[in-house]
Amino acid sequence: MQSAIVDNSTETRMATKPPWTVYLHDYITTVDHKKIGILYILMALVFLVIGGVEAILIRWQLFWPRADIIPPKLFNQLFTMHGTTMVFFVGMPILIGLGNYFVPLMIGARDMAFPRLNSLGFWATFLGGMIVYFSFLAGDPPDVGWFAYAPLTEKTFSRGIGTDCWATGLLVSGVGTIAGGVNFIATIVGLRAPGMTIGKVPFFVWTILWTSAQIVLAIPPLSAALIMVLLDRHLGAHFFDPQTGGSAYLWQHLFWFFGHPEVYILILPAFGMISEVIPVFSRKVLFGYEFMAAATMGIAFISLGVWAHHMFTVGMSRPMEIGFAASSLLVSIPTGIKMFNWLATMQGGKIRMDSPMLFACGFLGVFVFGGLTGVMLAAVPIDWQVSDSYFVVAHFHTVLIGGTLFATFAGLHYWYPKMTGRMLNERLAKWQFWILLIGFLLTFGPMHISGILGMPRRIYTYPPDRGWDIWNQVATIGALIQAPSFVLFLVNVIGSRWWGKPAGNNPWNAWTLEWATSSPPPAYNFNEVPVVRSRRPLWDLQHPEDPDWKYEGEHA
Amino acid sequence: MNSSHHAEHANSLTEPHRVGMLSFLVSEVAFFGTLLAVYIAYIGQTTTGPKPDVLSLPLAILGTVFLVASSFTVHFADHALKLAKPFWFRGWWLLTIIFGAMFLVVTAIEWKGLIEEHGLTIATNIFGTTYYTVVGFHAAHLTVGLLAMLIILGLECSGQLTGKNAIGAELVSWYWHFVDGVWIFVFTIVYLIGR
Amino acid sequence: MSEAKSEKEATESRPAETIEMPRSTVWPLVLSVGIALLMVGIATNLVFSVVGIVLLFVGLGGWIGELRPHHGEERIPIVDVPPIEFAGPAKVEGVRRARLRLPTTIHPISAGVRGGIVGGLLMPIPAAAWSIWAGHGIWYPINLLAGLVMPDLTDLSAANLEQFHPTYLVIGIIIHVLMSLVIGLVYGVLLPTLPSNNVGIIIAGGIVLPMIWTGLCHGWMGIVNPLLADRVEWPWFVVSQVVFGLGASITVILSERVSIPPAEGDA
Ligand SMILES: [Cu+2]
Repeated sequence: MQSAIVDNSTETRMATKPPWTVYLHDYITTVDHKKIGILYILMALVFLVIGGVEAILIRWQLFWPRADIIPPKLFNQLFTMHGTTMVFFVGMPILIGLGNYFVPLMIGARDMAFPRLNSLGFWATFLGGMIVYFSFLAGDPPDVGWFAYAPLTEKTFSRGIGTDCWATGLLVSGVGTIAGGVNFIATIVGLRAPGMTIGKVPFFVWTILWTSAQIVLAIPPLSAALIMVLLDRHLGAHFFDPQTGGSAYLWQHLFWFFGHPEVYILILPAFGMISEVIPVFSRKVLFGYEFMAAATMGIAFISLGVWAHHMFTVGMSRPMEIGFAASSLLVSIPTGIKMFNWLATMQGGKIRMDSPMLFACGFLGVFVFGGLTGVMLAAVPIDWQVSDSYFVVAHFHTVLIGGTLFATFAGLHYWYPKMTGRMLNERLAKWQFWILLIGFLLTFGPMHISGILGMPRRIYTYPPDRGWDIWNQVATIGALIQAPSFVLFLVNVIGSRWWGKPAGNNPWNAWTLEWATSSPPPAYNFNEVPVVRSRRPLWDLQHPEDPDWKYEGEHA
Repeated sequence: MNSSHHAEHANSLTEPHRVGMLSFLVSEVAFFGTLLAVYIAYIGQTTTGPKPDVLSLPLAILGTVFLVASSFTVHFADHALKLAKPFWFRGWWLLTIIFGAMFLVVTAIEWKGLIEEHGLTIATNIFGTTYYTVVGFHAAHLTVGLLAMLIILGLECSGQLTGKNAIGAELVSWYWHFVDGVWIFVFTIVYLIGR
Repeated sequence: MSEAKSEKEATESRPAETIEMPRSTVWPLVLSVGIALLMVGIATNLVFSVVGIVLLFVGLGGWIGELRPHHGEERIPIVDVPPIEFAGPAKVEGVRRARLRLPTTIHPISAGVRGGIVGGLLMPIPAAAWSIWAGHGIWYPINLLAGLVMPDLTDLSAANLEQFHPTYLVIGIIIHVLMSLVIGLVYGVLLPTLPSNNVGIIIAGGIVLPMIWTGLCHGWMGIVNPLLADRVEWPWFVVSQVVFGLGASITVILSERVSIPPAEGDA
């Protein structure tokens, strides 16, 4: 019956076959949270390919010592654009996109609280990316690094258009991000289905709520700092110019006050997706929901007070060093709580290794590794030793790829059937996972070593006599191994859209509300606004004799 | 969307429009917090050119009086709207707009003096840089507030501030209170502590 | 939210033929293009900014137009959504019994604390025995223990350390009592995670935990108090810890198991 519905809609479309401009117009003017979510995801995937190509070029240059395939200036531009792209135009959009699609569905709402603002949020994010990449057309991409340390960004050192495009682009996309954050908070606080108290929201929704809180608190300081850069450059202000009374150090404080919460903006929704996937594929409830929820809040708050750990090598007073090292180490406690709760959820469960679960398990393994090197880096003396080396590069790629990317793949494989009504091809997905994992380990494992051996990051080449060659060569080979996994993913996503098995409403036999409507859902999501009594409304429907609310009721 | 859902918490803080406005204001707090933190960090760092003592305290106090008064009038206006007294609403609302505009006039007079008499621009020194940024962004927010108030007034006069739009006036009044609150901080830091 | 309200909710939104949803609109896009051009103008030429501001106001005006009553919404017909399916192509039963795995009966936490007291009483015996046998006299171990918080103690000579110091005796006893209670509490809290049979508890509590504890002390004492670390005889340290662990574990085993109240079985 279900497949009939899906086929039916496909046929209708085939039969009438409106011209492609109709679809285009439909998507450009849409205020439907699901279409906007898909726009975000598509934008992120396009930028993922662009940022990936930049990464491959960087690795290519570093294959041989003293290579000059890519000149130093272009190398600087490539790593700047790679970092900026991955953080602002891949990471945040794909998470906000998934949130856009699924938060209203998971809380039983018909749309986001402000559908038109939602459209503005996407377009501002997208146009921000366009502005940053406009610098390529103008022949002068920014070369100041993704954290754009002053006074490199001053007119004296960056005479061209690159830095302006970088700053204005991030300002515009920041407007979009803040709009998204505000919208999420209003939606989650104000539009939950009857009976869904704030303690009963699906865990992904909870993490999106706290990511949004961080967006609202951390993006405006970045906007303020970017405005100061522009004032310095265009009106002759002196914020970051040490020669006329400004302070380059101040930029670092401002940027990292945004920059550190940013990594949690990127990881909290990842935690949320893992917390959706692991219970469903272990056939158990999430272990210790309350502790997980508190840990999420804890991370969101602690992350606002750790930013100066990015500045240990610049020098600061001893109490500041100890304070920021201690607060940074503190983050490992709530993160550890989450790790153990995921493992406890799996323990004794009936585990099914479908592709979403495979990526979730990859996440668990790799993220722990990246977390541990993070604990190392929080210790001031270690930081002094390896800061600005490939060790740091290896660390944050391990948490961002091992954490955010693996979790996002888990989420995309989990929710693709809901978004399209078709299943992804499991074989392709599994090949993709293993190729990605092996390529990833080969790329970033060796970087830890070359970093400890003293190889500085962001230098376009290296001398042959330091013992760094082999580690760079392995890393480049790893990057080349990773590349086809992304191609497989794109092939799978595009191909399954037409040739995938019909999915039905609830292919994974999951328990949250997004699975209680058709795949893809109608514009209004639900015929009737569902009434909720527990954290697993579909379990309750399925097991009226043993519903969850009997267990949650007392203290939830 | 779902009207009964809205009606249900029409008067509560979890009403989506209120939550949205509140979280937007939190982001604005973070924005102005950053500007003011930078201002504080640069207090006393100016070595050449005009220093904060060129600022006119009487003018700033005059502006403050206008803004504080406007916070009261906007409150009365919102109250009158809720009591369905459109005449009083329009009166208080218009008075708020006038007070806000007066504040901008005061700021303009002060800036004119600073530029022409003391030669202080944003490019002069670090004091000029931080002063014009903080006060300028506050004035910009005030201008946006005035624009929003005019829009609300227009909607009300054309009878369209009803139904789901009725909350608009309240939200704009919140924004206005926020802009006033920011000014109290700006006044304290720039004109009292930093001078 | 009251029961009555949600009922009302359900009836109100039931089979209407249409649902009101916001209509597609181009104005947010126009507004964001305005913002973007405004910014591009800063980077390139202010002409773009002027165009941007114009677009910004056009977009804003259009947007406000949408907010007028009955302008920004449309009613769309309801398609019949098939009922929820509980199992798709991959049919899997939930693991019902494993909602959450908890032992039905456990030793109470208080048993751990009592174990800590017993272990704390037993532990001085091997420590004192070693000290006397090694010719240090009975006060040596307690002075070393006090040295944990009294750094100046490490300046004392070996001979001096073997003498009786009333202050150090008091401090040493306080440390010993506190540590015994705290570690006893840790035993109590960890108990539900330990194996449920007696041999398992003895292995875990009498050997594994003391070894972990010794490892921690060995690792940290060199940092906290390097001079003291030189004077500790580690084999005897291990023996003392194991005596403590065995004492604590056996006390725990002898305690009565209590059953977990079913209300605790949270999902
Ligand atoms: Cu950080």
